This record gives sequence, C-alpha cells and structure tokens, in this order.
Amino acid sequence: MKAYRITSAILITLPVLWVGLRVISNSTQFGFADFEQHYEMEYDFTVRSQGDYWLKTYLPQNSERQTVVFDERLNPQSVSSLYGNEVAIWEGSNAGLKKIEFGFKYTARPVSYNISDKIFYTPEFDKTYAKSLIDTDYIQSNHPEIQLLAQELKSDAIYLTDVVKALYQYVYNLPASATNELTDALTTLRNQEASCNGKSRLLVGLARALDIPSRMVGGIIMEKSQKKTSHAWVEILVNDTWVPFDALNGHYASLPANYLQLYTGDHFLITRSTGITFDYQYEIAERRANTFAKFAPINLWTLIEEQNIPVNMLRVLLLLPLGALLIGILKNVIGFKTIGVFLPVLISIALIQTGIVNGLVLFTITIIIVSILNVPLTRWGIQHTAKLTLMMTAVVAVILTTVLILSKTNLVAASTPLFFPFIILTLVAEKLARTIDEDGFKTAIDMYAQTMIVTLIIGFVLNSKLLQDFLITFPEIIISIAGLNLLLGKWIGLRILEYRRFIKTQNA
Amino acid sequence: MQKLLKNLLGLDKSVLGINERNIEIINRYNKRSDYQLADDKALAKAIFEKNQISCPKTYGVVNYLTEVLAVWKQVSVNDQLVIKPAKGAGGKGIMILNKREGQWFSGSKPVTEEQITYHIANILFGLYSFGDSDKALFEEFVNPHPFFASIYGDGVPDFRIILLKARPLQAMLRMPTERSNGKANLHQGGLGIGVDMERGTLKMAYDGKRYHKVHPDSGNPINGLAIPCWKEMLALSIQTAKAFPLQYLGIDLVIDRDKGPMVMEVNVRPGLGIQLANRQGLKTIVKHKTETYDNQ
Repeated sequence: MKAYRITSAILITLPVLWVGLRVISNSTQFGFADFEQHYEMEYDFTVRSQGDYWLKTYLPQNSERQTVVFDERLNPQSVSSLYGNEVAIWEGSNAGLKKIEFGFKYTARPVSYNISDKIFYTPEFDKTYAKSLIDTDYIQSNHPEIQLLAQELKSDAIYLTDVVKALYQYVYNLPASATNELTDALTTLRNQEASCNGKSRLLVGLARALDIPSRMVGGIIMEKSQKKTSHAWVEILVNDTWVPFDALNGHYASLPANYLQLYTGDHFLITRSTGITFDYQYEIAERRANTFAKFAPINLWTLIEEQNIPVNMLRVLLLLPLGALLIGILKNVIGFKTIGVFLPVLISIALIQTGIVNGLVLFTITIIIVSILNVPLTRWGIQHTAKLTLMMTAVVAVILTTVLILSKTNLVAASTPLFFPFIILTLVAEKLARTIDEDGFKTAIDMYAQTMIVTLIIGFVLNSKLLQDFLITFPEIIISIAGLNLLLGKWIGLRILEYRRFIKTQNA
Repeated sequence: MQKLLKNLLGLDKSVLGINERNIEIINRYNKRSDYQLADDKALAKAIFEKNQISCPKTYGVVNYLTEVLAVWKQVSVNDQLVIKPAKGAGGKGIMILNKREGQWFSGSKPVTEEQITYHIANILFGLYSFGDSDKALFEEFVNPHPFFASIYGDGVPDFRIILLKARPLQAMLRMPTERSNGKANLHQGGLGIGVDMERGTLKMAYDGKRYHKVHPDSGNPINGLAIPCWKEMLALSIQTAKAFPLQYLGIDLVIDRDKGPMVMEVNVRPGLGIQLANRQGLKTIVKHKTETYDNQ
C-alpha cells in the first residue's frame, strides 16, 4: 500500500473517531438540535408596597418567527388576552417586599420580506384596520405638519414600495438620540432626532397620514447582557401582511433573529399601581445546547466566550480548508475552470458576510465597471504594472461610490462592498478584460460564469449555519478534510466535463 | 442510447484526462526544475542550437527595458522577423513583422516603431507570462512549405508531436481558419488535423465541433494527404526529445519551404485536444507503446 494512502486513511479516520468519542461521552443522543443557539431571559421584578398593588406586563407569544418556552416559576395571578397580546397580572394586598422572578428560553429566526414593486399605493379605509389608522395622543397622524411631510415624501409615487421607502428613509436618516423618555411623533419631527420609540411613532404617524395601516411593536433586543432597556419598532401592512421595519437600527422590511417581540400597539411594557416602589432588570444569556466539551482538543466556544474572540473570524478561518476542498472537487472531479485557484472561496466567504445574491450582483457590477476601464488603458498603451495600479484605484473608487449609493437606498447594507477582497477584484477585472481582448467575449463570459457557479455552490454550502457551528464545535475535523485533499491530489479519473469533451473520440 | 453509455464507460480506458496526465505522466516523467528549459523559449533555443537541431534563427534577445532600442536597431536590418515572449503560451504576444519600403507591417496592418517597442516593453513587463517578468525573442520568419498553401493560404500551420521517452505517440497538424484569424491554436478556432503516424498522412480535420474531410474555408481536400518530409520530422522530434531531460514532451514543428522541418518550441504540458484531432485516446497508445518498448 502506498504511503500517501495510509497517511490519508489515518488523517481521515482519526478525527472522525475522535468526534465520535466526544459525541458519545457528551450526550446520550446526537441531533442537529445540539448545535442550536438560544437565549435565556431572566425577568427580575422587585415590588415594595404599603398595601394593595398590581403589576402588568406583556408576555411573549409563540409565532412563526419566535419560540418561547417559559420556566415553571411563571405564576401570575391571571393572564388575559388583549388585542392579540397577552398580559400577565400580579396583584396582592400584603405590604412589604415582593420579588417576581421567572425566565424563558427564546429561539427565533431572522425574517426578511421582499415588497413587490407592482403593488399600487391605495389609501386603506377598511374598518378592520381602523385601530392601525387613527390619530392618537402620541401618534398625531392628523396633525398638519405630519400630513404635509407625508404628502411631500410620497410626492407623486404610485407604488406602495416607493411610498414606504420614502417614509422609512426620512425617519432612518434622522439622528438617533439616547433618551429613554417617551417621544411622540410630532416632537420627533420638530426635534429632528429621537430614540427608537420616537422614530417608530413618527414612522407610524407618517404611514397613517397616508392611510397606510401601521402599528408599533414592543420588544427586547436579545443579547448577552443585563439591561433595563426595551425596544420599539414598526409594522406596516402590505398585502395583508404585517411587515417589520426598524428605522433606528436600519432594518428595512426585515427583523434579526434576536428581536424578541412582546406586543403590538403603542403601549408600555410594564404598568403598575401607583404608590409602590418598583425596580426591574432583564438578564439575558446566550446558550448553546451542547459544546461537547469533554475530550475536546480545543474548546472554541469557551475561548470565544472567555477571550472575546470574534466568532465570525473563527467561522471564516475554519471554513477555508473546507472551501478549498470543495474547489478541488469542483475543479478536478467535475472539471470546472475558475479564475484563480482559491478565488471562489474568498469571494464566497465575502458573500456570506454580505448576503449571497446582493453580494454577487454588486461584485459583478464592480468587475464589469473596472474591466471597461481596461479598454482606454490598453488603447493608450499604458504599461501593465501601471495599468494594474490604475485599476486598483478604480476598484477603490467604485467601492466608495457604491457605498455612497447604497447609503441612499435601503435595499442592501451600505457596508456590503467593503467585505469584498479588493486585490482580488482588481485581478479578476484585469483577467476578464484581458480574456475579452485575447479570446473574445464568449470565452471571457464562460470563464467568469464558471467561476461564479463554483463560487455560488461553495457559498451555499459554507453558508450553512449548522455546518459552521459543527466546525467550531469539532475543529479537529479539518484534519479529515486534509486527508480527503490528499486523496483528491492523487485522483486520476476523467473529469466529468471531460466525458462530454472527449466522447467524440469514441465514434470513429 | 446504449451505445452512448458504452462509449461513455469506455472513455476512461482510452482517453487521457487532465488529472491523469498531470499526476501519472507529467509528474512522473518531467522534473519540475527542468520545466524552465521548455517554458523559456530562449533557454530551449539555446539547447536546440547546441545540439544542432534545425530551428528558426534567433536574431536577438531583449532581457531588460534598457536594451530595447539597441537590440531593435540590430535586428531591424532584417526585412521579416517574429517577436515572441520567451515565456508566452498559446501563441499569445507573438508579432509577425514585414518591412516594405521602410514601413513595418504587422500582418497587413502598418505599425510604427513606437508601437513595436511598446509591444516589446509589454512582453518584458510580463503581460503574456502571467505577470512574471519576461524576455522578448526576435526570430527568423518561417515561410511555410507550399504544401500548406495547397490546403489553406493564410498563417503559419505547425505540427505537434507528443513523445514519451523520445518515442512519438501521437501527432496533429494545426491549421488556421478564417475564424481563428491566422492563429493555428485549437481553442482559438483553428483546425486540429490528426496524423496517421505510420503512413505519414493526414486524417480528418476537427474544428472543435465537427470533423471535415476538406478545409471548411477553402474547400481543399485534407483527408489522406501525404505529409512532406514526415520521416524527417519524426527523426527531428526524436532528436529534440533526446536533447532535453524532460521525458514527456509536445514538440512543435514547422516546414520551411527552403530549409525543411524546423523545431519551433517544446511544451512540458501539451494539451489533450490532440486526442480529439486523432479521434483516438492517448492512454491506449501510452500503454501500448511503453509496454512494447519497455519489453524490448
């Protein structure tokens, strides 16, 4: 048996056995849920009263987006449903100090909506939505100043998406203030700054001024911390669906996973009887179901926690060998041809940070613009090194311009192009331009297309959260990947695409 | 359908793929440190000349930017010459120059000396050699044998012979078409014409899609034509292969109308398209020939 075969067999099997050992010794049964990440929330209310008291707060509910599991300490006197929200009430008549403590486990997924640009803007007068259209003390949608601004922003737009975008953009662009005070819509407009609740009320007010049903949403941003602050955002009705917007943190028609939703409507999260002293705190912890800590050669989850290592960096680091293996398979077994060897891995990892589709479109646009620059540079006879330098400068200029343009819209985060590997952009653009020059447009497009197909395949595989969590949990598996690579390096079979190429040799 | 499946399954027994070529052939028979002897045309030509292998005359070599004008002055006394990047591949960066009444022409296009020196500078900067700095080579222009004009008038057709341990395995004639714009490379639209090694005759012409018995542009017959100086060319390719420490080589030859066969260059990683031109897999031939020779 050849030495490389023995070596690769050892490299592949040892880490797999090790992972097996860790799974067996750390858990009785192994499932995907072991990699699940969740938050644990601990409510801590303290009430000091002379006699009768009551305390109300909204309880989170399960929905398509979020799952909440309460612990057994939750024991309010009553829970009532009010306009689709659930209110828990604690009451009593004993004087003295009372502690209300309970907790829940929270998991959720991020949501993102695509608002069709074919929906016409039509004022809504359906009584069903009356509550989401009215003028209130804090949301003064009938006030002339708000009415005027709403009309100005709407301008002559006829599609709902353009109207909503204009309103959101205006509110999003207002400076954020750190106040915890309640700010109404009109005050936000007049002060030209506000925190989450002020901005949300103004956005709701502007939408209602145009008879678009909209409402406030209250919740808490889940992050590892002890805090008292809650958060407010907005939902606007689009085609019978309540679509979320956060004009403070810049979430357009989307909501991150860690937005715990508690209630809809313009309410206070906690209300209580007067004459009592009240204190509260939310303690939030991030938990992982299982880190398989026993026998771990290196426990990255603990390191991340204790040393404050940015988890995204670790993800990129651990994805590199796997991405490179996939490239090897796509090139040597399937037969794809790519620009540069590891280039698709680098692009796809950048795409994971930026969002695959958006990133790919921006990347291609940048490449095309910079390739076009090659035309005059070649015509003028600019030397190769100087040309590369000029194209590099163009890459920087195009990226800055893109950031500027993106900051005016909300379709894609403005920082998206900053994740691209710039030097690679230059080299790809140059290579593409040169291929167009020498082998024609068709060959160049074919080469670019193959590179992007490989990038996409790798991107979709590497984008799997489960896979990333698996690699952070069992980093020893990269040694198995190395073993597979060793085998691949001796693979001498025909590439799949070569069958198509050479089939003609058989027909003679 | 069944036949197609059978053909597909049989393919990996006869056809040499890129993986196998790289690992089992190139890796085994060619030492990496010797690659440069083939990859750098200036070094290769030095070996040709040392071993008295017939090849186009070298008029001059430019190594550094500062030498461009001096060397150009020296070589421009010739009325016809070819400028090549020493490390170029796939025929890229080659400029063929003719002087008529003191005016230089690249093909039929008039060019100024400034454009020529710009091209030389680009070669030195590595435009055609993946960014590595390079040398520019000035060579004698080869006037193709009239045999080629009897098939198609334009460009410079050349033969490619693949040898393992100095034994010729497979050969093809590469011929330009209208589509390939004077270039003879298969992936630039040229024709690959298989060669019957025993008889020294041409097989069918492959254009990347279809096989033709005649040249698709001129309509002149190809299939069955006897190649002039074939025996001489085979001998020249064997002589060349023996002069190099590299054991697996693709040798490119041309036939000059006055001087006969000449070696243009040698390749360490000859392309696999030659199997399509011959409608025959290389793997069978490698097995057959190496076994036959090794057992002798």
